[in-house]
This record gives sequence, structure tokens and C-alpha cells, in this order.
Amino acid sequence: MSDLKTKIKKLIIESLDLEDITIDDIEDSEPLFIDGLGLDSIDALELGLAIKKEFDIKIDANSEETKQHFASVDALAAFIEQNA
Amino acid sequence: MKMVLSHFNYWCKAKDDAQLTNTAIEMLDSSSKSPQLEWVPAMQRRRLSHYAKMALFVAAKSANTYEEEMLPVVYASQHGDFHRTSSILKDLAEGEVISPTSFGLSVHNAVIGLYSILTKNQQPMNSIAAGENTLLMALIEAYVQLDNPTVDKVLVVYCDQPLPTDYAQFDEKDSVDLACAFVVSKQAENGISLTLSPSEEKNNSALQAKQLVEFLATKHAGDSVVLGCQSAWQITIDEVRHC
Repeated sequence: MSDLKTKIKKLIIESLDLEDITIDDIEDSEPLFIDGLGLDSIDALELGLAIKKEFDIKIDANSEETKQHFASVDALAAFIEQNA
Repeated sequence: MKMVLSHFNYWCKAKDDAQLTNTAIEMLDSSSKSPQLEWVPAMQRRRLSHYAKMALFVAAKSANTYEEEMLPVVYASQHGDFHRTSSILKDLAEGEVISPTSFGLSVHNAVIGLYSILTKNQQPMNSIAAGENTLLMALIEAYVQLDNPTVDKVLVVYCDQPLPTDYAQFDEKDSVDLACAFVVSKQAENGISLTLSPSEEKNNSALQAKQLVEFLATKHAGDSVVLGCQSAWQITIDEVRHC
């Protein structure tokens, strides 16, 4: 597992208070929202904020593409690598 | 004003056991930091603060008997979830972006909103803060609501905790984590029958909620207590039936 993906998973767990979930519980390609991990819209805002803080990346809240970037850990990692 | 209180529950935790000696209040659930809320799904529970857990714990306990019948709710808290609010204020002061979760859950009626969502209770609910008189005013608010002929029971939920360290100078020395809930009706077979009457005598104690909970927990028929400083009320227990 890449360092970036581990870092993202750690950020998801910490920023969203997922107390009972470990890094190993989150699959790289699994959907983060609704299905899969089951996160909701408040989590999306919270995670967006955490990523902005951690990686200093500006996220456009209204863009259709943002939805794609937040689809999974894989997608987030690709998005961060492009914009870092 | 006559009313009957039933399904009285409370949750209390002191920083120091000595704060609760010589009172009728017992420390509950002392083994864990916050009350356990098994009935709340884990994905929802993770966002609940200690404050929200205390409030939801007593609300659910008192409302449990009425599962089939959703009750209107009067929620009361002097400070609200001020630990959450103060952390938001701290972030703002330091130029940080504030957490959307904390922002959403910091408003005064957030806990009762959560209660409504989690229990699918769509009855009218309001949220009041009245300084030191908060719990007393909640009791009067519930009584006012009972004047509506379609309302025969109101659930009252109260919750407060000591202020965060930065605000300690505004807090009372002996404030404790305290949440309580009860059902108020004009007539009920079982419960504590109370008479409330305006009082000339005042009570300047800032820990009125604690006093009222102690008074209700003792539940001695004939006892009375005066609460309130600006508008004071004498509360007398007329009768105690099966509770």
C-alpha cells in the first residue's frame, strides 16, 4: 500500500471519528460514500476540509469532478498527486 | 399550578465524588465516561459528544414507556453543548477553518433535533435556555403546552455540564454533569403530584437544576422547595404514587 493511501485512510478515520474502523478495513477501490464505507454529506464536507488542511489543496465544492475525486481512496490519491 | 411528573430519570457525574455527598443524587454509570447508547447506530453515535450522549440517554429512558406514542418535547439547557461551541470559537480565533460537523451540532436545539431524527418523533419540540432558572422554566413551559387540549403529556429533557476550563471563571464551583428527563401531565395515575405557586421568598443558588433533581429524587410527599431568583416558585410534592 502506498504511503499516500495510508495517509488518506488515517485522515478519514481521524477526521470522521470512525472509532471502530482501522486502516485495514478500508479498501483502496471501495466507495467511500453511501455504499462501502457508508459516509454521508457532512462527512464529505469534513473530509474536504481535512484534505485541504493536510495537503493544501483547494477543492471546488460545486464541481461534478469533485464527486469523482471523493469516490474512493484510489480516486483521492490520484487527485492529490495531480494537485500537490 | 398542578401537574404530575412521571418517568423521572437522571444521569449525573461529578469531577469529585465529594460534590455529591449528602445529596439524593447518585452518580450513575460511574464505570464509563459517557452513558452507553446502544440504541443509536454506530455511524450516528460517533459524532455525539459527551453532552449529547447524556441528554439522549435520559430522554430515551423516560420516553421508552411511550414507544407507541410520540411525545412533544421541551428541551432545556443553560449552556448547550458549550464544549463544542468553545472549540469552534478557538478555531476561529486561531484563523482555522471550522469543522462542519461541530458547527451543525453546536446550535442549542441540535440535541433535540438528533433525538427527533433518531427516534422518528415528529412532535413539536422546542429548546429553551433561561440562565439559572432553565429547568424551572422548562417545567413551566411544559405546563403551558398542556393547556392545549390535544396535548396530554410532554417530555422534558434537561442537560448541562461544567464549562470548559477557559470559561471556568463564569461557572459555579460545584457544577456537575447533570442530565434529567421526565414526563409532565395534568393528570396521571402514577407519578409525583406537584403544586407550583409563585413565591415571595427567592432562591439565589446558581445550581437550581441540581436542587430540583435532588428534590425529585428524594420524592417525599409534603416536601417543598423554592426555586428561582427573578421569578421564584415554590414547588410542593402533594403525593407520590407508584414511582
